[in-house]
Amino acid sequence: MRYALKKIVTMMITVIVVTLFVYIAFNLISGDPAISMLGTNATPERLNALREEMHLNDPVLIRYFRWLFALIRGDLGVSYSYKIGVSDMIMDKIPVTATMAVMAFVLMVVISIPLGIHTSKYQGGVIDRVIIILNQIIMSIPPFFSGILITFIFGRVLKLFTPGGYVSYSTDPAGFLWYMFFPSLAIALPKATMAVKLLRGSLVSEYNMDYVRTAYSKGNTTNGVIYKHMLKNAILPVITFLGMALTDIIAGSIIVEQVFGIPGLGRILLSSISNRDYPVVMAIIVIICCMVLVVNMLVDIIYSLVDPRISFEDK
Amino acid sequence: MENGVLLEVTDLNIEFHDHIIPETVVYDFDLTLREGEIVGLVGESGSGKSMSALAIAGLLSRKDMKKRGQIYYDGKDLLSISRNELRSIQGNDISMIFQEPLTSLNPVKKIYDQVEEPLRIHTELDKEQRYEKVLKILKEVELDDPEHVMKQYPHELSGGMRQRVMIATAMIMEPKILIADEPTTALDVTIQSQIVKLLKKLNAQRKTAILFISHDLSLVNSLCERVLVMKDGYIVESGPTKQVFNDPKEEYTKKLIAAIPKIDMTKVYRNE
Repeated sequence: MRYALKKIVTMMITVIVVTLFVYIAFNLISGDPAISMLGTNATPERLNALREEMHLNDPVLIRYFRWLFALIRGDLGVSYSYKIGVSDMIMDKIPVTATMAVMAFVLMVVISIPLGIHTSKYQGGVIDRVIIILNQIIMSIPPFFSGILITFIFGRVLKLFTPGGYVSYSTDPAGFLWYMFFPSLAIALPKATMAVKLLRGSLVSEYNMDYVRTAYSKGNTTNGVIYKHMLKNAILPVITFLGMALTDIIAGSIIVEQVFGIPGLGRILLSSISNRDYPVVMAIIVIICCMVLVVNMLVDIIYSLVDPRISFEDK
Repeated sequence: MENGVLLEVTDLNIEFHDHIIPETVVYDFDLTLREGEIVGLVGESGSGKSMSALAIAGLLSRKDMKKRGQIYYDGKDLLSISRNELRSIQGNDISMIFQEPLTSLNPVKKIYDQVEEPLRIHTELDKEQRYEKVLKILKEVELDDPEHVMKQYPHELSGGMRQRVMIATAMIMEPKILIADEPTTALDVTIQSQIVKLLKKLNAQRKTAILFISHDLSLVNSLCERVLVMKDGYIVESGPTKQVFNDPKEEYTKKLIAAIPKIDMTKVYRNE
């Protein structure tokens, strides 16, 4: 429990540091928001007036804290280009991206764990050899390309979904989930093949451990040894990998959203970057950072629950 | 079997086929183990003593390995019976403890679960009955505060306590045969003598036959009634411990005995 609390406090400090870096970075980027809002033909008086109104003349740190406290209250600022609250712009996009990330994660776990166990148990078997080859191919494919492949195979050839025919979750939840399945698969497959490889390797090295011999000496079946003894030990590096993969998934979804024409966070992020709409960009970056940090914290906590030796060292 | 013979190993040969030229690690191993006796198996590293022990315990199942000969237990040849039949004997009638108690215990499972496991595999006892049994055996192996120990993980225990837990796990089904593969090598000397005393006690109380494997001759001398000496995969000498020690026939045995440090450890161990 103390371990979890410590992790949460560390995470909160990290969030503050991240927001500071994000804010300062966007202040270092050249470009005056007042000019980009009023255009280059605006008079200096009007520009100055707008700068005053937007508090752009205050020192950076004061503006940072003003922004941070607004952020903590849930006020993400106002978009430069659309003149509406950033939260109104992105709130209904978060569920879209989050659904895709969660789905991709679940697919990754569901694909990798049974295959990892199977291939380690039947090393050199047909499935093992096929998977080793598939791994090499799929691992070297970036998510956007697997997205194109999946669109082609499932959308064009098998006609299981209409490419580009995104349905909103508010109008047709089932259709939404069905459509989201394919981009999720596109993100999950490369990660899943890596996880299979990792779990296989991890399990294979566990086979030589002394405690496995002890487990056999008690009269366990091979499945008993794998599920009751080895899996909990072998899963440790896989948990770390799955945590890293989940943060990759969140970041990778930005690109896959483009391939599948999904109006999620990624699309707004890209358009806001090209519009120099910094409040939106900063808000999305902070949200993605928070997601990543929460995932990392959960991985640490799960790790300590699976491996009793971890929290022991902290006592 | 007649006159209390529990286990009869005849002509056991173990060959590795993981290289182009097969390598034999155990030649014509013979062993007879009677009820309640302690037999020592000594030899240097690589002499094949652990391999023979693992074969008897049914733990050599690598595909690149050939085993010939017979291991008779309870009228069955352990080398030719099915995996399922073998499993019903493993941990139940024949159990084994190992050299390194830390790595031999599963690092992520609580002591209670590990000691209890043979009961789950071999019996239909309910939860309370299993708990009672685990508590009883932990007390029997002289662990202090067994209620606390069973909630701990292996890394939280000392080396001696871990080996006691291993012994408890091996003894919980009250096996006929306990194979102890260098159980004290990884422990310091005072703990060694405690573990040896514990094995002696269990042997006396429960009539469990023990095959005690060691390279420590003075330990074998103090514990075992009979002894087998192995070298390069062959049994070079066997017989009652006293006879082998006082009147060794083989040059190799003589050298082994000459290598024992002059401090008479047998007095230390027998001093009870």
